[in-house]
Amino acid sequence: MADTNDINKWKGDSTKNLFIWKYFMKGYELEGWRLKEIRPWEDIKTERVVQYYWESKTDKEEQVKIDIIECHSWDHAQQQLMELLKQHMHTRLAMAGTKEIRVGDTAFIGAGDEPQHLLFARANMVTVLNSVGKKRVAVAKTALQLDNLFYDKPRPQVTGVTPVIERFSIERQERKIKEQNTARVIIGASDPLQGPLWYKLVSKRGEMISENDNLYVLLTRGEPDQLTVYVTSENGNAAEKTIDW
Amino acid sequence: MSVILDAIKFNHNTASHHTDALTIRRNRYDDINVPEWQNGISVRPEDSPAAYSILQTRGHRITIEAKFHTTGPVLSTARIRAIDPAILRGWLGWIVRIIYFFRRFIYGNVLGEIKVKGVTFNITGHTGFVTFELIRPKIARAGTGVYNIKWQWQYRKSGSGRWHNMQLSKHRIYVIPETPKEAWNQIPGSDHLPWTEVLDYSCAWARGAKTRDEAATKITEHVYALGNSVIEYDCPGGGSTHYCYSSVFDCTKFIERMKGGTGNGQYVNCTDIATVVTTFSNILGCELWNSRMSGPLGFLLNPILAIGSSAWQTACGWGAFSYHEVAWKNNCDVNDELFDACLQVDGDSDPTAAPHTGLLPTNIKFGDCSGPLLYRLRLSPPVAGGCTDCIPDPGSKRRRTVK
Repeated sequence: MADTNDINKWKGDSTKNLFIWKYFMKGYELEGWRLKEIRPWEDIKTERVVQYYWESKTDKEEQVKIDIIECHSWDHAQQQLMELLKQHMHTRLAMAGTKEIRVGDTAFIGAGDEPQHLLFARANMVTVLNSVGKKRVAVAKTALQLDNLFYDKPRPQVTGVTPVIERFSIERQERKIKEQNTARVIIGASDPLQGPLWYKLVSKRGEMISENDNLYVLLTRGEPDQLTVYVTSENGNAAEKTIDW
Repeated sequence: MSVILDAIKFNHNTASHHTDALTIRRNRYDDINVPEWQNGISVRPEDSPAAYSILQTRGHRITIEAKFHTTGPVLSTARIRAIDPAILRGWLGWIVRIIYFFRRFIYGNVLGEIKVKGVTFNITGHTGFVTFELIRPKIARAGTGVYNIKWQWQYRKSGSGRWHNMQLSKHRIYVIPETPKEAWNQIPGSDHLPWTEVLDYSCAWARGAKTRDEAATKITEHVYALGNSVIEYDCPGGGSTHYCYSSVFDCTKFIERMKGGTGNGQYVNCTDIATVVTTFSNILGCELWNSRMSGPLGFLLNPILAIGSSAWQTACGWGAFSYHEVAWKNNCDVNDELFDACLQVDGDSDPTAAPHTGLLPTNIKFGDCSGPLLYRLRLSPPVAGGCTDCIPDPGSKRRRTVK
């Protein structure tokens, strides 16, 4: 299989201090679109894969399928993006930047001035967008909206119920995970409406990984670090807490 | 007083499929309950599906099980049979029968009729499940297909009395060449039991096939024919897979697409198509694998006619494939035959140039770069970066699970 997409050219661009955990979409995320169907791929155990089918609110024939692949680390996400590129029969997919599409840490696009196929990695997330309806739609704008959800600080909510962060700390005990020194991140949060929550963690200079449904920070000797968690509920409202360690 | 048919079991022994039906399910989410036919619940043929393998049932006495009860004054015994209601009896019947015989030879009741058997009712007027033998089944003669059948159930009180009609039962019977192969299985409860939603297509596409190669060839032809309306090679997306992820095939979404829904959209690549051919052939008992060919930097192409395209070109004008995947037999190597529903190669004496004669690769050897014009030289030209870089990768051979 051709390995023409040189991972070393873009691996350095990764957002290493951001980690998205237990991500899900509920329908409010993309303005002008209606979430039609959610299909998790339970059979895939190495990463968390969920497909979301969206339909335009103004034209039912415009549909976009979004595959969200949540990886264990930014490095895993880069490898996963590489694997997905290898599943293209074209020997070299164009980088999104060549069409002035700035999205994710690294992004690739299909043919045409307004690509209907786009895949990008941001931190530990890989996202694949495809126009799947009868009417073809460009997916770059949607990709950017999604990337902002991953990358931006959640906006302060003006209405609705906000999640509650009950605990947020880092265990003192060190653990070795994949030959790296780590410490477990303890997060206790709940939604007063009993709904599910997803988490965005931002470290000042560190990295995070997940394993067996637990979240860890990589320990680096030297300066103290700061870790912020944003906990988002299914209505999009978020709570925030920061710790120094 | 009358006798009522309560239920029929086709798959009455999940440990065997020599004398009864295979274990099947409807799709990933829905089982098929046994008994497959239940009085008052099973109305249409598709409400009562059963599948039989030609090879595994050959030479065996095929049986079903059925149970009954009586109404009115309790009857202690009765003789019961089921006939093909399409066969008229009496002198008029004989005339019609001669005409009908030829039609029935093609369309008739593939399971034949049910041999007369005496049953005994208990004191409450019920029987348990009673085994009945099929007479004159035509499973092997009919070949692969989907057959809707009807049985007119009848009873009589004594050995010489008049036959009284009971219910008319309707069933959908799938006939396949051999027991389904991986990713399909025969493990009760598995979501990889053969799906009738796949059998509906596979059996119709491979209608009449009696061997695995014949079935796989017909499947390949029909999958390629979907290119006229349902699916199309993914030029805009760089030939990306849309129905597979890692080792899993989203068969549910592909079926949705074939039924006129959106599915995962119209675009497909060779991985998708090879997986469809393997999955829809192996449910009929074929033993195909998905396997790849590739080179260090991909490999150059001759002009091809990609699925859904009407233009001979080197795959969307790219000139090369980074890899290609097909449904392949045995070791998936140079000397093994393959089926490729993703593209037509040029079948004439010079596949590198026009004019082009379309050839859909079915059961054709992969071949090498110096020998006769087989698949490899028809796909990739004998130049640097071409045929010699189009190398079989048997290490990639796999069968994707279905979801």
